[in-house]
Amino acid sequence: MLAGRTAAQAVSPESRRIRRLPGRLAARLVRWVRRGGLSALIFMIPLLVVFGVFSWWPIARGLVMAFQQTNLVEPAQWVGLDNFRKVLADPLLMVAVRNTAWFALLALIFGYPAPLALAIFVRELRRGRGLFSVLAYLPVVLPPVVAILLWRVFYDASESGLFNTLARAVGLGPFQWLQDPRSAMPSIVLEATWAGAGATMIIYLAALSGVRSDLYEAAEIDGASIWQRIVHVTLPQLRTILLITLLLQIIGTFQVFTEPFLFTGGGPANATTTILMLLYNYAFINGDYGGATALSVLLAIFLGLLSLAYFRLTRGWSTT
Amino acid sequence: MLNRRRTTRAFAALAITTCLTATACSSGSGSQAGGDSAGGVTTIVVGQKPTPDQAAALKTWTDRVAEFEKANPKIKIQGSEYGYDVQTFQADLAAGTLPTVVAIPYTDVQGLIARGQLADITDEVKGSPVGSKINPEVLKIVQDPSGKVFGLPVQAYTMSLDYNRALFKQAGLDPDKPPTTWAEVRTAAKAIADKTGKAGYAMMTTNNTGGWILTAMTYTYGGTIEKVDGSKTVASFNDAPMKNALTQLHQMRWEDNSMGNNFLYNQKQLQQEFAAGNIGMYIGTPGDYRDEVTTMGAKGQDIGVAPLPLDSPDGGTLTGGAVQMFNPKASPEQIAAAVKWAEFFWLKKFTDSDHAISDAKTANADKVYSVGLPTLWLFDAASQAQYNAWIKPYVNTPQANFAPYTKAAPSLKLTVEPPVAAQKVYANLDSVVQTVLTKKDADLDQLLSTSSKTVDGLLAN
Repeated sequence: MLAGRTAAQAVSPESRRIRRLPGRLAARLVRWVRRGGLSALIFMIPLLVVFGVFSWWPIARGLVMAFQQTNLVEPAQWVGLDNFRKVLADPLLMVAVRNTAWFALLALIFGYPAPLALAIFVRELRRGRGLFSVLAYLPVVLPPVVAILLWRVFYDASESGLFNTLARAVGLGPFQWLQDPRSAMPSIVLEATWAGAGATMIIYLAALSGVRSDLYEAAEIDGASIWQRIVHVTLPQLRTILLITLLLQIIGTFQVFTEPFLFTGGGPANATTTILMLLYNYAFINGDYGGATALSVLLAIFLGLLSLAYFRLTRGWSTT
Repeated sequence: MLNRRRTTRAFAALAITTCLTATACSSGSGSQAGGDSAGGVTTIVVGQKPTPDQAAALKTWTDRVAEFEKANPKIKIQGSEYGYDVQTFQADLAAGTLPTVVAIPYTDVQGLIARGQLADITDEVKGSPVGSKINPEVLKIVQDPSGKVFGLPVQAYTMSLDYNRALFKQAGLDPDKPPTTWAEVRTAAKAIADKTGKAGYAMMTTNNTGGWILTAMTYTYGGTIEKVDGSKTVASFNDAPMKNALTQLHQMRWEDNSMGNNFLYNQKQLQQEFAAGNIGMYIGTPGDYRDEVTTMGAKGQDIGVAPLPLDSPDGGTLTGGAVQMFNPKASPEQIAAAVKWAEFFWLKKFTDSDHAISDAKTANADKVYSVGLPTLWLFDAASQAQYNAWIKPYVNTPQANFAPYTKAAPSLKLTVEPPVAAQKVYANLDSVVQTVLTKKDADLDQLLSTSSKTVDGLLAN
């Protein structure tokens, strides 16, 4: 009896709750609207539409296309992993991977410290800080295509080329710059460093302004030199931002396309053919969208794993 | 709190689903063929409508449309300024924004045929009074190995040796007697480089143009690029003709130093340098004259056009041309209407005096077209003489400068591009050319052997 009553009592409130559900939902909805939920959603809609149409949908379609063969006229055929097999068997893939890694390494060695050095230099200036900031940022203002076309002229391999004239003044050259497979990639990295340093420098300058001045004062009282202040105060204080810019740079360098495309078209002798250039050729020269998307999926997976490993390795170094 | 999160997630999911569904639906709507057929009237969209700055050409185009629609009341023409772009073509094809008919460059035709991205117009061309008269050698440009026709050639040419007559004079060479063999090209290039300091000879090398030009050179030595045996195609360039071509380049680059300092030219970049007077000779097309004079600032009097040098009795000259393509998503009625339009607008001017004269007059008036450029005639020789007489008053190009080419053109042995995966083969050969021009110690035998194996792999797939 007791058990029966308990059972009845247990069922009865549940059924009452179910009966009251529409009312509760309506009340919750009203509360949600009053608390600004609807406004937030309305504000989100343009963003969702833009991301949906221009980012998520293409990503989803790209993922599907990596397993298909299509000429964009007839219905696409499912080909399983054939596109991946084809891309992995392409002899140019290893060349492109090697070139991209070479670009990334050169950019890391020469391109990564440059904006930091610039930022510290500008920060240390007593006068003319604004002027130097503008000068350093100026290359960022130039459209990349214009800057690259300009540098193509600078890299003229004849003796009368601008850089060769400068080199001759100090007893060097003439160099072949972009016309030699050995010097083509370093030449591209040099321009890329020049073009990109200003934007990163601004980030570092902003971060430097957040470093407490009493730390520098304390270091100065302890007799620290400029170099010691940089090593023991500036760099530790900037390490979170440094780790993020490093990751962004690595991801960016693995996606390098504009510079080799416009400077050399991937030459000479494939010396500057990068992964993204190979991907471009698959899609736009050969019309092989399956191969192109398969390669982009492989690149995305690699960069995802790289980012994950990077975050795990550097978890302890960050201040946040 | 948890419930609120769930509600928010539900709404977000709903919004995303709505967006994606809307996108999916929108991508499936709209015309997929650049036109439609309704109520017995077939509407087609035709590309290359002249832009407003080409006033005379636009007026002629508008008049032609009116004339065509009057003669064909069941066909309605919609104009589009669309011009072929290799980077957007695939997207336009997928999105259904491609016109029903538009011009494409000859070099892309075979790749598009192989991918099934051009409409089959065999019946329309063979059944038409104009199309059926097109020179069969020229028609090969737009045919697949089985002989089906996938485009309408509206202009044809052979590759040519384009040269700077002013630099020839400065170097003590006779501009009316351009080189006819590769040995003469080498001598002339060295003379130009030594006497003027400019590049005697230059070559396109990037964006697959290096492979394209190397193919043209190899043909002049009597070589081939591919050998088709039934359903199997293999590379056939690992032999003497291509090695001779590469040796010629290597000698000019490293022994004579007559090729300048830039070995990474695409077509436009090389044309710009040529137009600026910095290059003595290059392999191009007679039609390059137009861009070089009308948009790149070259003087027409300085440009000479000669046939390709030939170093073998088997030597052939690579052909090219302008081709009208038809949207593969168009209906049979639209294809038939579009072929009719293309023949009317692009070919009638070669067989009808009114069309020939008004077309030449318009081109002359707009100053952006060159009238009288040498071409490979599409029909029989008698019609060519008649056409030349019609347009003579409007010719605005130095005909004497083209004489070396026009005299030789009728007797040239014509060759077509490699039939299978030409662009992929060219991409591979780009690297071969670039290696020869940028590595002094390049091993030609090794290069050819490696490239041949790679191309065999490409062709097997």
